[in-house]
Amino acid sequence: MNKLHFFLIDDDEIFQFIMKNTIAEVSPDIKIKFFSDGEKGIDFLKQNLGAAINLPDIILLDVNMPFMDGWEFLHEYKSLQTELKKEISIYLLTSSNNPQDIAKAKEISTLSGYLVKPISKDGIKNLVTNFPSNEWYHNDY
Amino acid sequence: MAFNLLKRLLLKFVKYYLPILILSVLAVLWIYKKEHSSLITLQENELSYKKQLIVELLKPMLANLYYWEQYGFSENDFNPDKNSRLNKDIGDFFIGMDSYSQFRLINLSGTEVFRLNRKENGQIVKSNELQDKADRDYYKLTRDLRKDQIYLSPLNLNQENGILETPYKPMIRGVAPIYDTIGNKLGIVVINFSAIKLSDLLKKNNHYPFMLLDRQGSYLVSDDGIKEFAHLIPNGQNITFKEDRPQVWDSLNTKENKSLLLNGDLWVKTELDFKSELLRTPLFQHKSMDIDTTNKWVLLKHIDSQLLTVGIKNDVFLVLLINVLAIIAIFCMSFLETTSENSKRRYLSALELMNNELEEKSTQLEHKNKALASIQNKLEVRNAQLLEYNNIVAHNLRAPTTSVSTLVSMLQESKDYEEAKSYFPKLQKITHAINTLVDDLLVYVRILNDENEVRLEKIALEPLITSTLNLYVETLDQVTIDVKTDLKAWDQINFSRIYLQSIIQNLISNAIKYKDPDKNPVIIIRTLWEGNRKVLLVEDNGVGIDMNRHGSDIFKLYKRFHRGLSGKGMGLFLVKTQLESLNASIEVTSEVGIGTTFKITFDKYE
Repeated sequence: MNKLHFFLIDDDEIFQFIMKNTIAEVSPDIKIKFFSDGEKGIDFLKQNLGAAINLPDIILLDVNMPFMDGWEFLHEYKSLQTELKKEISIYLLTSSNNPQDIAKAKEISTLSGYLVKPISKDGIKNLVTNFPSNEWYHNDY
Repeated sequence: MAFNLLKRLLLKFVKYYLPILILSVLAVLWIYKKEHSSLITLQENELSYKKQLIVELLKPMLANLYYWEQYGFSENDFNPDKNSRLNKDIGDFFIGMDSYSQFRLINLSGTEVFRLNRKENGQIVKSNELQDKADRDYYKLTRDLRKDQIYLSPLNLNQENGILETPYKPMIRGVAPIYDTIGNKLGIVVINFSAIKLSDLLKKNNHYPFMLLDRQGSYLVSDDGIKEFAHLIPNGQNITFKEDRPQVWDSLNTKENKSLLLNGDLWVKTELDFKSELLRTPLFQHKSMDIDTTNKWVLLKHIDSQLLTVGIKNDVFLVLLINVLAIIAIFCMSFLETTSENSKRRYLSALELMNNELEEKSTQLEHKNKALASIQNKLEVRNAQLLEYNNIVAHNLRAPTTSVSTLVSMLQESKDYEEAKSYFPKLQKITHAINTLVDDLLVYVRILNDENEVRLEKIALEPLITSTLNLYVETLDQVTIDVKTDLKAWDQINFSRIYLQSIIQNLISNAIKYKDPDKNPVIIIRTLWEGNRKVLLVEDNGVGIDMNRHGSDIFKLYKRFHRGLSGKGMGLFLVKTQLESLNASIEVTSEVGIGTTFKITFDKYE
């Protein structure tokens, strides 16, 4: 497994903690950075548009966040996408298998798939092994 | 109901029949009058004709008398012993004059000197029994007749030797003075002219009873012949017309009219005054006679009331028939009209009834519709609330619960107690988060289910605002916040005190929390009316909200848009829920850097 760079944009501290551990168990080589809301994430991307080294391969994006939620982030991201010097796959995180959210997610071109919480070790493993994929990816739940 | 019908029927009938009745009465009256006048005219004509007749029959008498006056008698003619020549001369003449019933010459002493009688068989007989007539009325009257004077007696019955000749012979005596050639009066000539012909002629061809009366009202000629000359017949009933019908006689004499309607009987008269009628009669050589007579006759026609009506009976009957038919026809028509009116009326009233019912139903429907609309609104709100609840549970509850299970499995797989121990604070944090969420949800649900049992009461806005501001008195001291109230539109509202307190508190607290540090904070609380709804506005000049980004999330749970400021993001969520539970609503307008305005619209009538 190559050295993948993860961004986790989620306000849930506990989930951040869990993910940190889970990913570490999958591979210690995977880097992960945490942002507590969409605004922070976008700001970072804006500041590192050209710095591919700072840019992630995968963004795990939560839906429900204060200040800027997942949808807003994606909206902002769309305008940045062309300027970003790296191909980023964004996966939407949702704690409910709300069909509406899922349908909405499918509509968004910037998304590569969605993951339903909780995400198990195998879930991360699968994601990583199948990366990069052109198909819509979602985990089993 | 039936009585009403009958009354209307009768009214209608009367309305239609009355003109016909009036017309009929008028028609009958007209028929009557026409009949009368035509009858009168007829009878007048007839009477006039009869009068003419009498006059014509009288004229020869005059002529005769005049003839004899001019005859040229001599003294010897007035001597019964010497006047035998008269036998032939006058006798021959007499034969031809069938109107003569007696011819006499009377001398100055009143004694008859010559007499000729016509017998029943027509034979002329000279009577040798010459009588003394000096005492007779007519002699006395005529003794002093002058030359050219003629006397006509009233209609009389012929007498023979003082006794009425039977059968009764009506006659008129004519008397003329006789002078000799020198001019000495010799005596008078008396001729009894038979009036039988006159009588017969007068009685002929009478459609209606005819009478000839004299001035005293005695019958001279009458159709039934019984009462004629009653005044002359000694033992007979002395009945005159005057006595028979005094009322008629008086009226006929006093009134000018030629016709009289009395007690239903019609009387038509014509008067014949001998003197005036005959005065105009010219005689030979244009010499008119001086006639001495008292004769004033009345020719009378009597039409009995029954006879009167006979003529018009048919016409009146016709009118009656028409009336009967009209009555029947009008009655039927009225009946039909009334019944049709009735059914029309019933139909209309049924229609009206139906109309009213329909109107009522329509109003009811309207009310139901309004109620339905209101319920629909409430349902929509409730739906949105439940959706919200769903979202909260789905997003906010599931996350910590899944985290718990993950942490627990991580705990299970932990290598040592140290590692395990590191998980405990995390678990605590999550369980705390779950508890908080559940508590928050309970608050929410309580409002939804109205478990707070909110009571509506009249709340004065001013004191409520003042007491809320007092809670923040310290904050307000530290930073001068200008709070203005404008409650001119309304200052009292029917609402739940707890909720209203909570809402105002929330809004004021937000206004203070999100103030713009670069400006002097101003909060304006205003009331106004929109239609029939009360509106409360809370304006501030704080930092504002980016409506494009966060507009749809302002009243959602746990949504916050300003970093660095405290709060879970529950305040406005609860405010909205509290308002919704009492059919109120809240909106927000804001501009970043300018300020925010919250607009609460209360339910109508509150």
